[in-house]
Amino acid sequence: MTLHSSTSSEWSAIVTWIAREELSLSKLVLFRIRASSKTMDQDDLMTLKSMAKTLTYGKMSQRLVWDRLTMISDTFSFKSGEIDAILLESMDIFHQAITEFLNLLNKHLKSNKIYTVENNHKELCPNVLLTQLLSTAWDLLESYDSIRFRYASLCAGPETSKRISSVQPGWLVPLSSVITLCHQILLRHSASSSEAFSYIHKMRSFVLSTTLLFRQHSSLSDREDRTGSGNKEMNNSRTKPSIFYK
Amino acid sequence: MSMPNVPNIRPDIQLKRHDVLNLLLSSIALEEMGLSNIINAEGEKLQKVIHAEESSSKDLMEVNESVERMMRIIIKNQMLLQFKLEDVIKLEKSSFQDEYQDEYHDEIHEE
Repeated sequence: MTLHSSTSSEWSAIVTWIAREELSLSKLVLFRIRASSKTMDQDDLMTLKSMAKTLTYGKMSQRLVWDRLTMISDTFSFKSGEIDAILLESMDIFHQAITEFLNLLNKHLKSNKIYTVENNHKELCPNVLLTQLLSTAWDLLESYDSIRFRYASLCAGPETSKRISSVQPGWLVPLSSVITLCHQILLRHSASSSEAFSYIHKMRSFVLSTTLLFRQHSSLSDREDRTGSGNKEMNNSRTKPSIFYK
Repeated sequence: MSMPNVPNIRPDIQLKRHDVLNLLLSSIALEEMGLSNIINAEGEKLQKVIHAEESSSKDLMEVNESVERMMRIIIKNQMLLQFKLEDVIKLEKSSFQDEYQDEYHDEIHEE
């Protein structure tokens, strides 16, 4: 159903501001991670704990933003170049945030501090903090995966949605490194956090399925270039994100 | 129990259903604009910590606490906006259907 034409400017204004909210949230997440990187050397446990909490709020807010955008897109077509540009910038910043978060995590896991925490009972047990950090990392991946598949129905230009859904994220390598390091630390400390191991398992599946998905996508694109046919399945916004394939 | 007295409001407000919908949509757009600006301002607060030459983890904790408090308020507002948006979409759909039915009946009547 198409809604009343005279209200289209109001709907466009709403969507533009919701998209700007998404952009501001991506920036907030990025700045929070950068602030943690800066003060990490002084008190890494507190810095990481508080960052994890703020990022959880960021995820909740982002989820609400995308729920509203999807709700509107189901009843009203609002595709425009301006919204495309805002969403694309937001996605780029979100990629940057995930990369910096994983680099920060790698730095923390490689530092000697993580090994000394367990001996000091006044401090946080490593598997508690690790579980919290893995949960935050998983939240970021989940947000990325669910957002990526909604772009197709929102973006005006097929080029924009194609760029978002077909470019392999550069942070898959630091993510693999984080998974390996966390696994090693947990095993070394005989930690019995089944939750942490469950996150490690889920992240491994994520890396595998995402790599396979992009490999498939690139081979499909090659075929499309040769035959000239479009990939209908990838353009469907209701396609289930790979994160739900378990 | 007596009925309340409705005050005699002047001048008369004469709004059609369509105008009401537009006003509701404008109010949602303004609220979204406000939220977007508030989130942006919270990001700028964090940027201050990043750009400050000497910022301790205590400074970051203080700023972070304020950002977190604001984020909680933002999330509550976003939920209310979502409910409002759902109701407006429902209203818009029903008014569109009513208009369509009226036009259809008028055409039949003319024939």
